[in-house]
Formats: sequence, C-alpha cells, structure tokens
Amino acid sequence: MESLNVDGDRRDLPSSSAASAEQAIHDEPAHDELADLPPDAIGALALLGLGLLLESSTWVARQANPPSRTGDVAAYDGRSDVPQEHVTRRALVGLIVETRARARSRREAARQARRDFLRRLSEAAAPVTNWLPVEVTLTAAEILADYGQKTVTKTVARLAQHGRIEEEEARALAQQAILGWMDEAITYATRNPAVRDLVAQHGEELAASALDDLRTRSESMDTWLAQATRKVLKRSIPAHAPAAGEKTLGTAPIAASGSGA
Amino acid sequence: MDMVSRMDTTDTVNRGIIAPAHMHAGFASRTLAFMLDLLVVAVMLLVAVLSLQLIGAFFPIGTLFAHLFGIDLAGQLRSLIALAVTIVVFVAYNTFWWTMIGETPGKAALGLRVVRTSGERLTVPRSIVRALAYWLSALPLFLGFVWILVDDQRQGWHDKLADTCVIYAWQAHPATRTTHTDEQAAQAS
Repeated sequence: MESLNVDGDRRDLPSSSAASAEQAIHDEPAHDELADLPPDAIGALALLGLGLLLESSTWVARQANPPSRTGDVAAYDGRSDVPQEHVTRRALVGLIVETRARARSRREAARQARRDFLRRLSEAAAPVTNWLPVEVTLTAAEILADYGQKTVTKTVARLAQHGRIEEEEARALAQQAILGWMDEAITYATRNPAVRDLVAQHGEELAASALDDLRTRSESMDTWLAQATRKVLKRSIPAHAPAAGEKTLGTAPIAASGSGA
Repeated sequence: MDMVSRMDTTDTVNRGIIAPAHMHAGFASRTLAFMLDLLVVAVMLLVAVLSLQLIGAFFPIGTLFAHLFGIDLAGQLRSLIALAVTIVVFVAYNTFWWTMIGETPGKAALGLRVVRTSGERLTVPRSIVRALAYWLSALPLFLGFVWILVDDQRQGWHDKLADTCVIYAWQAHPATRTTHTDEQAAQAS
C-alpha cells in the first residue's frame, strides 16, 4: 500500500520522505539490466525454453503418427465409435464399484462408531464393574441354577417313582370338589331365612357386646381420670358421682324424661 | 319412683343386669363421644362445602363483582363463610339430636345422654346456647372441657352455662359394675 501511494498518490506521504525518494531516483547511475537479473530467473528462463522445445517436438511427432483412439479415455465421449452397450456396461460397472466402496466406507464408519460406543460404555461402567464382583456373582448364580435344576429333576423323578404326584393330584381334585360343595352349601344357607335371621341376630349380639365393652372401658377410664385428677389436686374423692337430678329431683326424674334405661 | 323407673328396674333385675344409675358421665366417655360426633360433622361439612362450591360455580357472583367493581368478594368472604357454615352445621346438628332424642349419634354409641340438671330434655334455645357455649369452653385452651375432671357434678363450662349435664344411659353387666364399685370402695378407704 505504501508503494502504491508512492507511485500514484504522493500526497499521502510526508513531504520529507517523498523528497528523499525522488532524490534517490535521480542519484541512481545507469547500468546493464541483464546483469542485475538474479541467477534463479536465468535458470527459470532456461527451463521454460527447454519445455517449449520438448512440447514442440512431441507435437511434431503426433502429427507424423496420430495415436489410435480406441484405447484412449476420449473413447467414452459421445463422439467415440465404441458401441453404446460397452459404454453403458462400463458405466454400470463403475456405479457398482462406487456403490460398493461407499457401502464399505459406511460399514467401516458403523464399526468404528460401535467400537467407540462400547469403549465409552466400558469406561463409564468401569467403576461399577470394578466394585462389584460381577463374574463371581454370575458364576455363583449359574452354579445355584444348575443345582436347583438338578434337585428339581431328582425330586420329580423320585415323586413319580413313588406315586406321590398322582396322590397330590387326587388330593387337589378332592379339595376342589369340597370347596365347590362348601360354596353351594353357603349359598343354600344364605337363601334360607332362618339362617339369615340367625346370622343377623348373631351380628347384632356381637355389635352390642362390642359397644358394651367400649362403654364399660370408657366409664372405667372416666373414674380413673377423675380420681387421678383429684389426687393431683389433693381434693377429696366422692363415694360416687352424683346422679342427674339428685339435687333438684323434685321436678322430674331421669326415667320420665325418656331415658332408655 | 314412677312407673317407668319401676319397669326399668324390674326389667333390669329380671335380665340380670343393673343400670349405671344415671350417674354423670366423665371426661373420657364424653371426649370419645365428641370425637365421633366430630367425624359425623366433618362429613356433613364436606357435603355442605361441596354444595356451596357447586352453587358458587353455577352462580359466579364473586367473578361478577370482581369484573364490575374490582372487588374480590369471594376471597374476602371465604374464611367468614367457612366459619359461619361450620358454626351453623355444628349447632344445627347438636340442637337437632339433643332436642329430638337427647343424644347425638356419638353420645348414643357411648351410651350418654344430655339432660337438664332437673332431668328434663333440652329445649331448642337451651340446645343452641349449649352448642354455642362449646366455643366458650374451648377458648381458654380448652379449660372449660378440662373442668369436667375437677367438677363435682362433672359439668363443663357449657354445661353450667346451659344448666345441663351428661349422664350414662346404658346398662352394664353386674360383674363389671361390681368390680368398679369395689375399686371405688378400695380407693375411698
């Protein structure tokens, strides 16, 4: 940029530097330009000339003996005299080869991805697998499974030999039949009004008994709480809790007010 | 002793059981009965709240007020309405049962009955006073309920305010009563 400025627009340069450059040009003495060329440039010119010479000799030789076009790459173009089916076949073969190459590269990429995944998985699971004795556990499980299988096989064989299996099957069938009869009996009993009354009466008695027990316990708790409170407060314990209406009984007794006692 | 009492006594003797002599009920029985009643009231409150929410969803008055006047009426009145519904349901429940048969379902399960100190059944105004007085007993850290433990008549503050008492209304087996009496005699001696 600075040289452009020097050559084209001198106003960009400071006045002192422009003057010194102009002075240097005028002070430079005249000399031979070929003598100032570097040796590399001379070598390059020599090589260029040699190349031109070789090209020209090759062109002359081709003009003298033109090459056969059947084995050349140019034979695949539309101007070739090779049969069209050969061209198509070669194109198809090329396509097949290219497809195979692409498939091979994809398979290779998939293998690489799988190897990377397994490597990362093993790296991630390394702490767990190092901590757990996985192989020992698997071996123990296999041993236990083998032992269990052998034991079951031996037991089944022994039972079959002694006729136990048939016995168990007969017992299961009998149990099933008894359960069926029991269901029928229960269904019949629930349809019977006498049985239903009996069950209802028994349920009522059971509920009444539970309520009676609850009331008895709560009354005992009442007495215990009252006595404990009076002990804490050091008050005298009455012989019994006074009945309602005991002080003002003249108006109406409890029974007349509709108590269910 | 009038006719009803004589019949009760005869029936009791014939069946081999004796009555708890209409003694005043204590703290434990009344607490258990109260808890049972609270369960019933809670179910009733649930039904009432669901009904009110259904009505509120059908008549969106709160949304209308909020849209027209910018007042969140439902938000401001929600707690007040909840308190009012609770009080109304509780008072109505107790008043109905005390007035009709003298015992709520919870008290019936424990064999208790609410009567006046004279032995008469409660009237509607007295039942309302007694139900509202529950809050008076509960206000000073439930001291009004704990008063049942120390009172000679086993009355809480709400009982004293409404001139009522709670008595046993069930019959116990002789063995239980005898044991209980023996314990009392032993404690007295």
